Amino acid sequence: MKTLIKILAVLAIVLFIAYLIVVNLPQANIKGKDAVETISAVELYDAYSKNEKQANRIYTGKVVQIAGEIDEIYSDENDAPVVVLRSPVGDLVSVVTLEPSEKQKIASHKEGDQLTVKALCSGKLMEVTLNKGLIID
Amino acid sequence: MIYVNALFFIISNLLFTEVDVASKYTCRTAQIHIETSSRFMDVVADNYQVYTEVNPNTGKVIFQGLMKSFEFEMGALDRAFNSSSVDISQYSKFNFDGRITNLARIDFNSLGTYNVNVEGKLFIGDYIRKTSAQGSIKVLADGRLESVADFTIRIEEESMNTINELMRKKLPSVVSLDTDQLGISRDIKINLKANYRPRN
Repeated sequence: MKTLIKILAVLAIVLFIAYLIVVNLPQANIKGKDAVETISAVELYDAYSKNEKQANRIYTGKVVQIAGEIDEIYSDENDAPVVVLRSPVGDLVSVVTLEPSEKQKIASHKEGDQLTVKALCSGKLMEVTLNKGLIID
Repeated sequence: MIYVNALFFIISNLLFTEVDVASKYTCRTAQIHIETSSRFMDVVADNYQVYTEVNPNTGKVIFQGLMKSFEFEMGALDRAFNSSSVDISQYSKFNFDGRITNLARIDFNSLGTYNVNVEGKLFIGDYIRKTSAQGSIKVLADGRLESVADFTIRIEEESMNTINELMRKKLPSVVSLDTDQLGISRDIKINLKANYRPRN
């Protein structure tokens, strides 16, 4: 009987620890994840514009590395830095929300600079939308 | 006397300053905050990548967002939702297409905060639902608009039955659970925040 109580107590403790781990897991991030593809911001926009279903299958929910020219940098409602990338002819092609930890790095960039970021692709609205971005260059 | 004149000048400027009205106002990174609950946990999520547009002449309001842009407060849920094992390709976007019903009461030319009523349709995949919301629009001196709105969506009985059916199919038969036993709330509280910029 005592052994059974001990087993149940150990099981309860293990379950409680597992519960605490699950509840306190940090949110998803892309640190340490490799990009499924390295592509220009314009090529990614074109892929979604030509065949959104196919582009969703290839890129949505995946980490991609894109490069483009900065059109604008600002902060969103969560105070996270947001970078809008444009094509060489000035069309807006990507909106990338960066991780808050990238605030200092992005401060050294300005409109017209080239930027390479790795980010989680969410899909396309007016432009291709990417989240949890990290600056590569 | 100088101070009184200066004060009068400042107050009259604040009260009667007119701002240029744009042909539309847009925001690429509006926030949608959702909250719902069950007997075991509350589910809280935010989407900071919502595109929205307001036309001050027609009162047309649109919101467009991507499901994959939602970030769940609970890390485990956020990781599961962002993993490739969760397939939401059928419901990848949501759209709200509506209209301000009290447009005549809003002066986009004058600084101030105005109450706004919006009615329209919410589209999530092939799911369409008539929705209305109350909120406010603040006209700022630099021409921008700040907007907030709160509303609640009640999940219909039919949709709860669909969830129960899905749980019966996916869970082993020895686990007999339904939405009532789990205490899943039928109400989803939604809060919107947008910082619009004028576009011509």
